Amino acid sequence: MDNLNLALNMIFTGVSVVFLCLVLLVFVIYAMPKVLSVFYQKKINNVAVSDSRTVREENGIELNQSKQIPINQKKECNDELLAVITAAVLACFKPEVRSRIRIASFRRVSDTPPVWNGVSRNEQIASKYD
Amino acid sequence: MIQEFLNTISDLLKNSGFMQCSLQEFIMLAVACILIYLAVVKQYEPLLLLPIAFGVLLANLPVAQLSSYNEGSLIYYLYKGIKLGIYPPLIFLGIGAMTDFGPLIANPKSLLLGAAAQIGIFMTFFGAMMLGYTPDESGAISIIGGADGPTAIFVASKLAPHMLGSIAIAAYSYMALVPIIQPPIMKLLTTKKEREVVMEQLRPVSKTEKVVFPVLVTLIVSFLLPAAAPLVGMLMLGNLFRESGVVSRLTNTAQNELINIITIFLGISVGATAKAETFLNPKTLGIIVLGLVAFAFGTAGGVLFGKIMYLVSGGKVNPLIGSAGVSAVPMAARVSQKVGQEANPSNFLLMHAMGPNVAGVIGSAVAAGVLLSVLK
Repeated sequence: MDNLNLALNMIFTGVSVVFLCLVLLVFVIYAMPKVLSVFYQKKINNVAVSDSRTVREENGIELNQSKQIPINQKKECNDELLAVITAAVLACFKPEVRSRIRIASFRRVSDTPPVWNGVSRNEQIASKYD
Repeated sequence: MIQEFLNTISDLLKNSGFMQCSLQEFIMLAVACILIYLAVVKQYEPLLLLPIAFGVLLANLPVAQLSSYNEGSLIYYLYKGIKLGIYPPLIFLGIGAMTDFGPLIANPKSLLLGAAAQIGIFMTFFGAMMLGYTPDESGAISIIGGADGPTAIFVASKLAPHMLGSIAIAAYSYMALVPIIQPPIMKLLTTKKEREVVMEQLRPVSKTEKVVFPVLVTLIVSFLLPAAAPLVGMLMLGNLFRESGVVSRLTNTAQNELINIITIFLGISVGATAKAETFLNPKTLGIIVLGLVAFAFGTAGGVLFGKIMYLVSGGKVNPLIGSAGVSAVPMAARVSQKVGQEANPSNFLLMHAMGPNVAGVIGSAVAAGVLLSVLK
């Protein structure tokens, strides 16, 4: 009877604690980008303030080159990059297939991705339009 | 002179392994050879099964006294790393350095699938208790269901060191058999319509999130369950090395030299605990059967929770990724991918399954912490 009680106790305790722990992590991970975006917003605001300060100095005695790339220049870089990547992707496919391809999103991957990321990506590209 | 020579030769022969070998030792040597065959030819988790198998062989050499229990032998001192709980956390350091938690951060609900798959551990604990094992032995056997070798060795070394060899062999053998054990259970518990579900692309995860994640996980899990801190802490330290990008030398060492060295030491010393008297008894058969039960329940738990998520999300979650909640990384994720593709050839579940797969690593470490906290 003691063994049965212990076993049942372990099932309920174990499952509850594991779920509790991981549910807490779920909430924390959901909250993480929101909290980080608040910090990023503050950082962008600070950069905008320092950029305007740099302009005032420029009009004064010395030129202080801002190291921040203006937002419109960043957008141009992304557009150019997107154009190059799109051209490279389309070059891999047959001409009759190219008109059906649309790049929906792109993002930089980490420098050392797991092997299976690359395998999955390659398989996806190779088989999707065979 | 000749008589002395013959006496010397006779003494040498009497003390040789040929004359001192018992039937049990002979059987264990045969078991070791079979395990070596499985590791080398069939490639069943060779990185650990091969040193374990050879450790079994060394421990059962007659007269040589090379087991983990023979004081003064090399393996006795290597075994200290297991006894003191050093090797498994260091292996986790290397695993953390090799793991990308991006799919998990992009889809945090995967953690629930990782949690659900640990149900197999506790169900097996129940089964082991009913079969007459002591609570400590039941805890050590049930952790096989976590499908996590270092965790199984860590828990077994603390709760039932006399069963360490059997549990480690069972754990690594079943991990290698994941592609055989899981698919029938996955197909039994899901419909074709459910298996065909195509999931939405995962959102991109920023580097900041990947750096903050290991620190948060360590703090939260360790505060809730201090017994899990060695494993989870080292896992997250390795991951922080990787994601910070500022300690590439340490990351490379953790991923390569460190984990390779520890794997060798761990494997040999674990295998060398499997002496004939501890391995050849009915309890070992029970471990093998219960290990299979643990895997099956873990897979079923993950898939069934996946079905619940499928219903709750309105058909957006493929239940097959639930089976990847057992932490056999990346084998279980590949099995989800394969079974998903059998139902829908254009479906690519691999990255979606990686979320529950790495969540299972955290989940099994938490489950180990629960077992150690309750039973110690």
